[in-house]
Amino acid sequence: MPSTQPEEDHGPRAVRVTPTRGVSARPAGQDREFTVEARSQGRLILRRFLRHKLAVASLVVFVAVVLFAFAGATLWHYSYDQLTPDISAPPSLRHPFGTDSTGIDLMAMVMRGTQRSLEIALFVALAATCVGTVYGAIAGYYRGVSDTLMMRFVDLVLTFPTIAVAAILGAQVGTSAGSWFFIGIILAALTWPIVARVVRGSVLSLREKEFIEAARALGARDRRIIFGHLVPNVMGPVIVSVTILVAAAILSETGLSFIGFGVRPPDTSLGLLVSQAQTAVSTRPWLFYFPGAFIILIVLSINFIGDGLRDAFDPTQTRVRS
Amino acid sequence: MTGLGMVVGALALSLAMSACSGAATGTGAAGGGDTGAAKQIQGDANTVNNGPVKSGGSLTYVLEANVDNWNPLTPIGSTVQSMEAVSGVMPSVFVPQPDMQTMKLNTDLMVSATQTSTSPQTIVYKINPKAVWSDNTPISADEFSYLWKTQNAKDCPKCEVAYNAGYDQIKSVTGSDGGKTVTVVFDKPFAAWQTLFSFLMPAHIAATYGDIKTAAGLAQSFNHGFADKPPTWSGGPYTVKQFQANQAVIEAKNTSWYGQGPNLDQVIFRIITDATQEVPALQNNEVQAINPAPQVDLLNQLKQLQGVNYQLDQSFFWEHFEFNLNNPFLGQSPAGDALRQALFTAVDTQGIIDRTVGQMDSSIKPLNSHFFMPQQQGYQDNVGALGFGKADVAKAKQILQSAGYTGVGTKLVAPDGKPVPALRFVYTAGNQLRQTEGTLFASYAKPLGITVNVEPTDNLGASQVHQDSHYDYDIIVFAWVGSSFPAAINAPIYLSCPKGVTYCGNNIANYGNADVDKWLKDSVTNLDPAAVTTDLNNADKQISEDAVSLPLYQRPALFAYSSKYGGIRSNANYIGPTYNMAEWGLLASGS
Amino acid sequence: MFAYAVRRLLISIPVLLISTFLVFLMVSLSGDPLAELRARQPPPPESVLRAQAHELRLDQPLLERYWHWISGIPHGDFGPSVQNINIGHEILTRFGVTIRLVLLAVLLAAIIAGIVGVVSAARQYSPLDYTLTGIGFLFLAMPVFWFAILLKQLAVNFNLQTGRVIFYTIGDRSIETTGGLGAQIGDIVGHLILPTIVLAITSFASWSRFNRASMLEVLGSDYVRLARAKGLPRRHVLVRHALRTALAPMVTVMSLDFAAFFSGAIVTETVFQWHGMGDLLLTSIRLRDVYPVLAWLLIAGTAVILMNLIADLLYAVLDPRIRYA
Repeated sequence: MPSTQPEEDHGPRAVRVTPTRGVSARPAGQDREFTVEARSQGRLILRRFLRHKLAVASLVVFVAVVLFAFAGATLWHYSYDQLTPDISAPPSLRHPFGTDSTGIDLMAMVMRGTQRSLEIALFVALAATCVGTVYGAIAGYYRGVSDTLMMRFVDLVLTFPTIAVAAILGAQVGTSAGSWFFIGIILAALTWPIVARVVRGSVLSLREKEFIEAARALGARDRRIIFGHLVPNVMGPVIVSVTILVAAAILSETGLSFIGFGVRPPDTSLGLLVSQAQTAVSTRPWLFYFPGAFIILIVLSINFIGDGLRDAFDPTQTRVRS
Repeated sequence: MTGLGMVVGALALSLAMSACSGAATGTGAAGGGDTGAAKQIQGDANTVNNGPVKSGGSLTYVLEANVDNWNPLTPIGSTVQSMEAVSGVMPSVFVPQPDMQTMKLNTDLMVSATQTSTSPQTIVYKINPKAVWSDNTPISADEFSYLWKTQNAKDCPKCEVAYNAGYDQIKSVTGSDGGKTVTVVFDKPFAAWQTLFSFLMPAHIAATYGDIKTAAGLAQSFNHGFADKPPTWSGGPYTVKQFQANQAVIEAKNTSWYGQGPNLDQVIFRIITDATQEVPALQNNEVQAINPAPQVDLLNQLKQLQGVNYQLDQSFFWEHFEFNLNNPFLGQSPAGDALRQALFTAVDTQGIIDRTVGQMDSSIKPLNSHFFMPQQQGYQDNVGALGFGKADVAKAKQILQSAGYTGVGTKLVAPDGKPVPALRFVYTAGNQLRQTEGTLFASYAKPLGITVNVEPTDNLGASQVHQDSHYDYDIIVFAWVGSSFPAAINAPIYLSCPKGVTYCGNNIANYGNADVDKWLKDSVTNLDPAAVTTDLNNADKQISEDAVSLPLYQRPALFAYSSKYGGIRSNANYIGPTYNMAEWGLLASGS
Repeated sequence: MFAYAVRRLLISIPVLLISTFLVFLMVSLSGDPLAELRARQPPPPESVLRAQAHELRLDQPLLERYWHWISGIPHGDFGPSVQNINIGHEILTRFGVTIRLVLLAVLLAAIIAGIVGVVSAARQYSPLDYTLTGIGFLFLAMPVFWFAILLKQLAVNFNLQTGRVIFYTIGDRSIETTGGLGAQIGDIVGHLILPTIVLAITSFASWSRFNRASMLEVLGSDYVRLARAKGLPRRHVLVRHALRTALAPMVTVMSLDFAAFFSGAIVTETVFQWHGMGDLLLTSIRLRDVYPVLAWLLIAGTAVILMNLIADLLYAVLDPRIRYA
């Protein structure tokens, strides 16, 4: 049976940070006191990422979507709140995505909706990941009473039903101006514990490993061990979590819109567009498929980018040599 | 309780439905594969689809919410779903017909119901001698007396009544002839007397919940006995065989039924709370009759189905813009009057229809009366005649200028020098139709120099009653509900409020006019229908001129059913299409 | 480990109480549950409004209302409801509906995810891996209800083609079934199949992604190399050594998602008209009916806490280096 894992290519984690190990597979620069490597880690990661063709292609697609949404909206001659004389028009040159029942150009709405969905998703990903990683690493590293207390707090947050909180708080905000931001905050506030738990789980087993013991024996401080050794070594699971979180954020927003508690008109989001078009699937299919396709396109490309990033950060899982 | 009161729930429910299902995108049939598979049924509203039917079979009818309360006369029970679920169980003296104006005597239950005197107003009811409850206890004057006592607010102050107009004007209810003749004498005349004694409930069963000679016993039986559990008894063609909460109400033939029919062995009320799921369920033959709020895609989806009939008729719901006269800029003063009139003059009602419901049903025209539906006798154009809703921007500007406004067309400033602030236009969150109406209103106000911010509300009720600053509004859009008896239902919307309140009754705008008060009060008590019509049209002219609210259109109603069934048809009244359940049946031709 | 579990559960009680209190405040302050009644046309008499307010305890101070609710729970009293329901009874019935859907979906998703994750990792970068990954990514990218609506349309068309109703689109069973046991089972399966697929599909995708990642991580570790070096068969190493360790983080994610399934079920329940917990929650929030929301929170919260506990315990079982004292 042919091995798909040429094992000589990658050293085990515990080894790759010890000074005696060769440099080939090591995320260099990760902890400088041990390294003889001069290449920056960033460049290595970039090189590895660039070899992941699907990820690079996805990045191109993603950038194209971002440009379409943000730059496109300023160039396109219809705006998302402009009533045109063409009512329920199927896709045409004048309206590439067609129009809805009030005559609003769907492409303009998709641009606006994409902006909103992206803003929500990226905000959630950033906020939840930063908070969750640090929180989980600290809890996992110190264990004991602080861990217990921290994790009980996580439990507390996790008992809040996302949809209920979003719906209840959403009712308080009302005005549409800040509403995407508000949904972003709610989703981030409710999803960071997921990252925290994943990170804590990994740290719990990582902290037992030899390289941490070695670092501790060499007199490294807690902060250095956490941020210098533990956090970089959990980047794999974290990045997988982030890609899942971004997907989840976009999809949660869609779900919230579906049950009527998401971004509210007159603003719009991809989720709102697609949920408003749910009965149109067999009668005015463009209303259903275009926003849906954009959601899939965005989430797909972000996931592939995440996949590429994970491989780039963590060469132990790839055949790519650096 | 009058039938008028029951419409209540219909309004509340329909608002809730359109809020949560995002229902009611009006609009374009373009693109919709108009294969014409489903057949639109048109004709005399009272008799359409009355092909010969045979006995036997079953039909599943969709309710859009769970039946939370089985007493349709309580505020919680006065919902479409409760009334539809019990309309085959609790008989009514008069049944409102689909033509939106006839009250037909229930000839299964009654021999006659006649007004024998107008001073004092006296009605003599003669009950069918064969009419019995399912335990064979005769239906008698006791039931009439029970409904009167529970709803007159005197014998049972704690009875939770949705609406008590009519019953509180009755002086006495007397039985004779072994209880089969009932004589009702009024203190104060009540024009809509035919709406009384709907949904009769058995007094002898009520007595098992408490002593109905006491207020406490009446309250216990009315608020809980008849409300908390489905009826185990019946006085109609069907009886509730089984209730599965949130799933279904299963009704079978009442074996003690004394009237004609019923044809179907069984009627199942299936609860589907998301209107958009109803069409696939109909297509999949999981249900056979649906009554969803119409929406263009839903309608087009429906049109593609084979073996389905549908009726697209006008409902009693009429959409309208309404000002909040508590706002000093919009109040009843020469300046406020001019501002309101100018805004309504600039509005293009036909344009609103074209962008919303007109695409679904091209026959929808602007509604020009606050009291009558175009289908009803007495309807006349009182709103359009004043030039409102005709998109006349030049005239609107001229109204403002002659009232002393400056900055017309740029930044409007009131005659007293204060700039007119941005106005808050509030609509139900998630309702695309009303969102569009708001956007259009803002676009009509803009050329006058007025900024209108369109904002969704997540709680229309709270907004209507100005619950707090968060829920307050300057212009609001929603639907009022009309009735076969327009006086009683509409009077609470326009009768003046006492000083110091922001609303009273249904007068959420806080409108007041002494003449209107006089006409409306007369319209409720005057027993001459022609005089009532004159009163209402007089009031309508004044209300229209005061530009407090602008009727837009009568909302369409959609009812679709499998083409295998006959006797089933749309009914826009509170009682719904179930008004003639006993007549439903599988078509004899077996198509 | 037992003492640990008990301690964890005890600590959870204040956690639940705090979260119910916060939600109680949020819902209670979010508006008047009687507003809709006040605005009805024609308006109900004032006495009815007062009676309703009294019944819903709106005439009591906020804290008193909460205390009233808390102190009723030991007696099985979950408070009054605008919807005229016995909340305790209602939520139990609905829990039964939801848990059936959730358990089946979790099971389905876990099995598929386990298999796909292992296969993908073992054959990393093979066409099979790419295909499975691609499918996983696609499902991961689809809005649940978007997929549900398409699936439903597909099923209805399938029924129309075959002329028999095999897939049902509403409810968890027919209102009245006829026929023998076979027909009954057919009816239940016919109702279950679409919603279960919908609910399972998105979690399956993320779990198999996660499983693949952890498998790859483990496959690169020392002891797996050692096991291979000892000459143990590849299949044996893959399942006995690698999968077991890789399952640890996977179980964490699964148990966390298990709770999220209750949220996910909300959308699925709406599309397929299952009247479960999600339906009750949505209705109650719309009506500002605070006590059913709190009951929902208690049940969902308990489920989350139990699942977290199980995850931690399983973690110890699966990863021998972690011990709870």
